[in-house]
This record gives sequence, C-alpha cells and structure tokens, in this order.
Amino acid sequence: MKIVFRIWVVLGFCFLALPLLAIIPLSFTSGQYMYYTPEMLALDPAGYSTKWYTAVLTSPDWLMAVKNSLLIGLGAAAVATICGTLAAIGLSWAGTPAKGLWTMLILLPQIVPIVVIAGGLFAAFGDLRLIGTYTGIIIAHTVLAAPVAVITIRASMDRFDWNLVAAASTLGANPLYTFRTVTLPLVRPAIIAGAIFAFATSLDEVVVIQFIGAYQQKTIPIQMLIGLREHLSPAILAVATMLIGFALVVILLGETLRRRSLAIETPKK
Amino acid sequence: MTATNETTPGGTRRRIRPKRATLVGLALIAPLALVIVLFLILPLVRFVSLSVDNRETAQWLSHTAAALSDWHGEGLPADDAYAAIARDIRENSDSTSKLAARLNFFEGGMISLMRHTAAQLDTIPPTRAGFVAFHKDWGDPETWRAIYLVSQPLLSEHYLNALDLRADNPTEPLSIEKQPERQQIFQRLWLRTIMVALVVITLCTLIGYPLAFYLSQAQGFAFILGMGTVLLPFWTPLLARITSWQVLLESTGIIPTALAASGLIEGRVPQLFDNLFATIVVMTYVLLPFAVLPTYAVMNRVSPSLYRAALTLGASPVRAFFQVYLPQTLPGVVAGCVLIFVFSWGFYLTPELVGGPGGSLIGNQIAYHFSSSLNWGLAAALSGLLLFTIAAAALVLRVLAPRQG
Amino acid sequence: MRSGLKTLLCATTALALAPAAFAQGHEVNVTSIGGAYQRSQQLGYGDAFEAAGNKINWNVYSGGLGEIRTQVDTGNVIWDLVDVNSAEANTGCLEGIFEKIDLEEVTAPAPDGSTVEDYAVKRTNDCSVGTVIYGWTWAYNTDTFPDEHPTTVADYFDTGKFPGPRGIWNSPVQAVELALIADGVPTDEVYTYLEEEGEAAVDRALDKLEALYNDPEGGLVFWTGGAEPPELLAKGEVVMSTGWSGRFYNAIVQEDAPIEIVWDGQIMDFQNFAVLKGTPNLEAAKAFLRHATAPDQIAATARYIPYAPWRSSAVRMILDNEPWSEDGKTNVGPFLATNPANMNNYLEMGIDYWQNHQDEVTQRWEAWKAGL
Repeated sequence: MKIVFRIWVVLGFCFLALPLLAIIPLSFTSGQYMYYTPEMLALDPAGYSTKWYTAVLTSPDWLMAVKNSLLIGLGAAAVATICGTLAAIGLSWAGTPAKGLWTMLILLPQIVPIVVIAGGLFAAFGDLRLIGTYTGIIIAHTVLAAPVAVITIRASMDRFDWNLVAAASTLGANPLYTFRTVTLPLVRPAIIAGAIFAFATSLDEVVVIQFIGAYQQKTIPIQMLIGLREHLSPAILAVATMLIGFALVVILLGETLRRRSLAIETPKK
Repeated sequence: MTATNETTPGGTRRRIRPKRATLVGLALIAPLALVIVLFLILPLVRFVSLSVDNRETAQWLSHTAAALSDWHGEGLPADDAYAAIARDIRENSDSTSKLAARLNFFEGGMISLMRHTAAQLDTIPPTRAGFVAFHKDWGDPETWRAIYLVSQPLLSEHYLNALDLRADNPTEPLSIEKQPERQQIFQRLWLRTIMVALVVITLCTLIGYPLAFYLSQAQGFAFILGMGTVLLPFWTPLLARITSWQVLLESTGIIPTALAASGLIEGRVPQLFDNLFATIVVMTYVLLPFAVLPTYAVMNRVSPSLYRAALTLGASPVRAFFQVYLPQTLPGVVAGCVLIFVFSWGFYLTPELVGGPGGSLIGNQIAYHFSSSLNWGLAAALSGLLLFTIAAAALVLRVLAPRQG
Repeated sequence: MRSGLKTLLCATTALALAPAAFAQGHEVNVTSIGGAYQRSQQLGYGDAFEAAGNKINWNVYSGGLGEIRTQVDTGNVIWDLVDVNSAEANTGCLEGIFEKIDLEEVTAPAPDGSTVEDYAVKRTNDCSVGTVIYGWTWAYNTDTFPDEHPTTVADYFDTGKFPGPRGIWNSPVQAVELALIADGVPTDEVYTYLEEEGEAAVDRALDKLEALYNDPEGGLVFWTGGAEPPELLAKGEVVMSTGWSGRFYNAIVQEDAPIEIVWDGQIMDFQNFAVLKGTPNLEAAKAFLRHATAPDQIAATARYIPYAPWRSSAVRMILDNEPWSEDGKTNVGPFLATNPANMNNYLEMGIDYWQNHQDEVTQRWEAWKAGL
C-alpha cells in the first residue's frame, strides 16, 4: 500500500516536472527542428549549441516583444497593485459592508472564461477607440491581474493586527501617516509579492492581446504564438526555457515574500 | 453587526464611528471595483446582450418587417413583402453585404442571393412572381424564414442555434425543432466540453490528492522540492507549457519516438497530438496545481489526531482513511474540483493549439464565431450559456464549500 | 471662442508635428501571411522602402476577411495594407472595406515606359493591386515514397497505395476542389459543378475528406500557417500535404528537405495588396504600393520565393537573368506556377465562385470540422 502510494506520488511529480525539463536540453540543439537529433542523444557536443538563444536575443522581433511585455506588464502590475492594495485593506477593514459581494466582484476576472472577456473587451473597446492601443491592453491586464494581487495581499492583511492602527490613531497620528509608518512596513512583503504575481499574470496573458492588440503591442507570448504557427524553430524552445527560468524567479521571490508576510507575528499591544 | 461592536483578535474594541468606517471601507474598495465594473461587467453585459439584441440589423429591414407583420411563417409572403425588401435593399445599399452575411447565419446561400439581387435590383419587378423568376430561392419559404428572423429587433434564435435547435415557425419562437443533421454541432461540443471537464477533474483529483497529502506530511528539503514542482508549471507561462507538450506528443516528438524505439507498440504509433487525447492530457497538466493547492491547504489545517485516534481504536488504515481523513479533507477536494470545472469550461487556447478539430471545445467556437465568421450573436449566445453554467457552479461552491476565515 | 482655441491648438500641433513627419518618411502597417512568403516581401522590396527613410510594421495573419471587416466596421483600422487573394480582394472591394485605388497612380513605369498595360493579368476589382501568381499545390516526402510515388490528385486520397496521414489547409479552399477532382469531377468542370450543385457538391467533397480523415491508414492534419506543410513533411508528421508552391520550394532548395512538389491539380492563384478603408495612412500606403509593384522590386521577391509577378516586364527580368534564386545557382523558372510544364492538369482559382460562396462554404467547413 505504502509502496503504491510512493510510486503514485513520484509519478505525479514526474508528470508535473518532466515536460518542462524535457525542452531545456532541446533548446540547445544545433539542428533546425524541435526534436532530439541522434547527435544530441549521443551527447555529441556538435549536436548542441546556443545559437537559438543568440537568434532570440538578437532578433528585433523578440526584443520588441520583450520591451512590450515589460511595458504592459509593469503598467498593469502597477495599477493592479495600487488598486489591489487598497481593495485588500478595504476587504479586511471591519467597517466594510457586503464583503462577500465585493470579493465575488473582484474575483470575477479570474472566473469568467478569458475568451468571453476578450470578446466583451473587444466589443467595448471598439466603441472607446482602444483597440490596438497600449492603454487598452494595460487596462485589460489590470482587470485580469488585480484579483491575483488582492488575494496575495489580503492573505497578509487578514493576519494584520488592526490594534496597531487603533493605537497609532489614539496617539494622534493621521490615517495616511499611520498607513505609511505602521501598516505599509508590515504588509510590504505581501504587496511586493502581489505585484510580482500581477506582473506574471500579465506576462502570461495572450488571448486578450490577440483580440484587442495590434502589431505594435505584440508581447512575448504573442510572438511565441506566431512562432508556433509560422516559423517553427527551436528559438521558441529557447524562449520557453527562459520563461521557465522566469517562473523560477517568480516562485523564489514571490513565494518567499508571501511566506514571510504570512509568518510575521504582529506584536500584540 | 457594526464596526464598534466587533472584537479584534487582540481583544480591544475599535473606536471608529460605524458610518465613517463604512465609508472608509467602501472608499478603499471603490477604485478597483470601478475598474472592474467599467472594464469587465459592462463590456460583458453589452457583449452577451448581442445574443438577443438585433436592432441594428432590424433597422435595415424596417419596411420588410412591417410588410411581414401579418405573415404567419408558412408559405411565401404576399407581393408587398417583395416590394418592401426591394425598397429596404435600395435604401440601405451600404449595408447590403452585412445584411447578407447576417441572413446567411440562418440560411446558407443568402450571401450570393442578396448580392445578385442587389446588383440586379432595378431589373427585377418588385413582385413575388418577379423575384421568383429572377432566382428560385426567392420562392423558398426558408429564405423568408431567415428574413423574418433578421427583421425582428429581439432574437432568441441564436440561443436555439447554440443548442442545435431552431424555431420551426419564425413567427412563433416557441415552435422549436432540431436543426438539420448536417448543422448539428453544438450539442456534440457541449457534451464534449462537459466530458473533458469531468475527465480532467477526475484525473486531477486522482493525481492531485496523493500529492497534496505528501506535501502536507513532507518537511524541509522534500517539502521545498515538492512544492516547487507544483508551483513551477503553475507560474510558467501557458505557451511555454504548451510548447513542451507539443515537443513531447507530436508524432516526431519525444514520446512517440520513444514508444516506437522501445518496441512496445507494433506498427504505427497512434496519434497523440492534435486530438482529444492531447486536449485532455494538457488540460490536466495545466489544471493539476488547482487540485493540489486547495486540498493541501485544507490538509494542513486538519489535525491528524482524529485519524490516529481511529487507528488506536482498531480501525484498519484503509477504513480510517475513508471514514475519517477523507471526509475531513473533502472540502479541499470539492473546492479544487469546482475551480477546475469553472476553468476547464472556458478553455480556448490549449485546445486550439494541441487539440486539432477532434479536441476543440465550446470556447473555440466562441473565438471562431467572434473573430472569423463575425456571428457575434451566436458567439454571445454561447458565451451567455457558458457564463450561466459557471454561475451555477459557483453557487454549488458556495453551498458545498466550508465557511472560510 | 472655444472653436477658435481649438483651431489654434490644431494648427500649432500640426506645425510642430509636420517637420517630424517629413523627416521620418512614411510609416505603414503591412499585414501579410507570414513565413518565407513574407520574407520574400521584406527582402524583395520592404528593406529598400525602409532604406529610403520609411518605416514598415510587418504583421502576420492567417488569411480571411474577418479581422479586416471588424477593423473597418468598428472604425479601429490598425492595418493599412493587407495581402489578400483575388477572391478576398473582390469581396472586400464589393463590401466597401477596401479603398478604391487608381492603378495608374500607384504603378511605376516598366523599362519600356508602359504602366497599367504592363500587367499580364487584369485585376478583377477597383481596389486591389496585383502582386504575384502562385500555385496551390501538394507535395510528398521522397523518403517515404522513394520508388512508386504519388503523381495524381487521386493518389492524394489513395491510402491503399500510399498510406499515412495527409496535411491539408484549415480552409475549404483547395480541399474542396481536390476532393471533387479525386471523386471524378473533371478538373475543368469543378467550379461549374460547385456553382450548379451548391451545398450538395460541398457535402460530396466533405464526405470524401471525412473518409480520408477517418481512414486508419490515412488521417488529416490541418495546417494554418504556410510554413507548416514543408515542416510537417520534413519531420514525417504527414506523408503528403497541400501547400503553396513557393513554401515547398524553399524547403527543397534551402533546407535540402526530402520533398517533391506535385503539380497535378495545381490551382493557380493571384495575390494582391489591398488598402483598408478609412486608414489614416492612405498616402503612405500608396507610396508603398508604388514602390513594391515597381518591376525591379516585385521581381526581386522571386529571388526568395519563386512566384511569378503579375507584371510581364518583371517576369522577363527574372527569366532573362537566371539563375535568379538568392543562392545564385537555382533557376526559378521551373518552379513558377505559370511555367507551361506545371500546367498540364491545372485549374485557375475560381475567383467568382469563392467570392460568392467563401463565407457559406467556410461555415459548412467549420461545422463539419467541429463534428469530426
């Protein structure tokens, strides 16, 4: 019984990890196609090269995609984190009525299928002349990324001891000063984690941009999509490998910060 | 329940007046709520309303609608309807091609019929006989069925079509019949979508529950490694994950090549990519973390003492597991299942890229009708049905899920 | 008062922007169908246009008028020029989603001074500007069938003689024609048959394709991008595939791929540029058109992909200066769709048929595919 469980668990972890690990060596192929050549399997150095990384990092198309991903991701993450922090505080604030309703509303972008959201945004942005604009995409990504930020920050806010704020205001501090000196330092790790996750959400998004973006706004995943359909080359594998690296960074940074923010014992009285 | 009476974990009472506390709370939530209402709710309402709102098209056919008001949906209408449509085509010549495209959503062949008619309108006598002599399709009641539908400001036909049904008599929306067999695709796709969702839920639970249990027991490096393995695909952008699976599954990919080389399979290795199998595998992969994480969270809170007590009292480990531990952790499993259902229900990109025609789902039809065929009404009706099902699932979640802190 | 201010503001802004706009030349958004074809456009005339101080934003789409209609209808025109086939060009022109273009105005003279007369093929509408002629062909993997190899359209459907999955474009165009030819409709009667029989003819073709899809010895792989067929063939994902003649050529000549083009059942088609109605960059688009269709520029594209220009002076330029290919040793003449040797059993693209029926047949096709 125990053996069966062990094997099952190992297989489960393999299922999760192996597909990602399988493409990493393949991204170093010296060949043209996305499969392991006999030279690669024989571990012949001639079968390996970094040429697809060079190809990606020197390609104007990919560099433009990186620039756009950064611009859109940072823009959306900034707005989503600011609005999201306020909303997370509001949701853990005792005086807020109908919290369940607000939570539902804020989580909605995660629940509605992305293709339906994309259709709705296209129809609406057409009227607003926001199709093919950075503004349009940043707004859309703010909506999509905000729930992620709120969930992350809220988890930390729920552990936050409001007595500290009460104490500060009893001592005569105004709310803004209290926020800056008492609340913010304690929830800062969670806010940074929320911002990182919001950025990652924007970076991952492709369906909405596909619907409402133009050539000028193409991001890394859009360029990958073009690659998957058009010039099938191991350059995509190089990008995918770099994105796996990005995910690793998100986990190390974001999860560490989140864990730290949850571990904070707010001093009692 | 007012703010003043609420006791904080610290034990003190808050000294803020209730009304002001309410305003502060609402003000904090307002910016994000406003963004979501303006750029999600309103666009969605507007989009889904397109499934019944046919006013734009109806205004191009205002005379025809008036002339058809005493038509009962059977046989051909009288001469005045033919004269009216001739007038409508003439007065809205800029919109003829759009009108034709929308008529064609309900009756194949209308694009060419309308195009020819519009081009020759001046030579056709505006009577039934004249039109029928010009083109036999003007003598087909189906042509008038489509025209009648499109001349009405409110339309239920898109919802019927989304379920492979149609109004037998256009003037009576409740005279429902099945679409001709060649046009029946949606029931099949709805079923396929549900089936895929259920299979994916089952697979995710079967794989995810033991993983969650392992994580809840593991410590130190084993925990970090295990958790990292769950989170890595979770945070890796979807297209990178799909690329990985393409490299694994396509017929020159790693798995078929390995299968062929191993001699396990005789003859041609079956196709693993661009079909339903690939859709299910990749969706399971993408959604597995949503099964592991909520279950893990619940397991983490469940004290193992009850389970140990059952063991001490002589229950076999299997019995103790099914009677004690499983019921205790079930809320996490249910939460995971509902999440996976809600997500899988609207999948679009994954089936599009790995599923081929046999592995495509309702989401792909929405995208197709939205961006290629431009049948926004049908796309909106499919979206409306999709959202309705998700709302129902969310309701189930509220009923079944444990009250959370 | 307010409008006066507004005018003033506009005038100053225009003054401030005008020199900048001139200094930067034209900026134009060109959407084409990607891959080696788009590369030939970029290298053939795009780079030269940019070298002259202009800017081209190259975009990729996978054909069809859907996205164009949406842009024009919603007033969000983000593409200026789009690469379309003749049926799409006619439909779009009729629907008013393309600008009417005076051909004389955008045609640079040939060496002999002729302009519009230089076009060997006449355009079929008032909007589009013809570029190149290519073939909808199919090809097979020479490693899979080294000795007895497919030669006729019937062989494409013959899984007994030639087992293995086939690649086919994710669209009814060419698939329907091939299926009907293989099912016994004489090649030169395909479009009359389709026109007369209507949906029944389409259903007959789809039945033929469905049999191939469900055949355990066969199977269909649907491709969307023109780069896929040679890739699918080279990797052995399929044993035969439909595709555009030039894309196969590129794989054969540049990558030495084990692929052979079959010209039997070729559908000769005519590619165009069209300008989206309401584009803010109409003048830039016209400047681009005049540059891109100049004989030496359009001929240069054939160095990278063997498609025959519409303009006879450009074709002469190619054939008189062989080997024309970018590798400096390959003659492109034998690969042109207009080469008589490639026209033994060929069809001219049924522009009228597809113009009138593309949307209807595509809807049937999508419904059929969703039910597979």
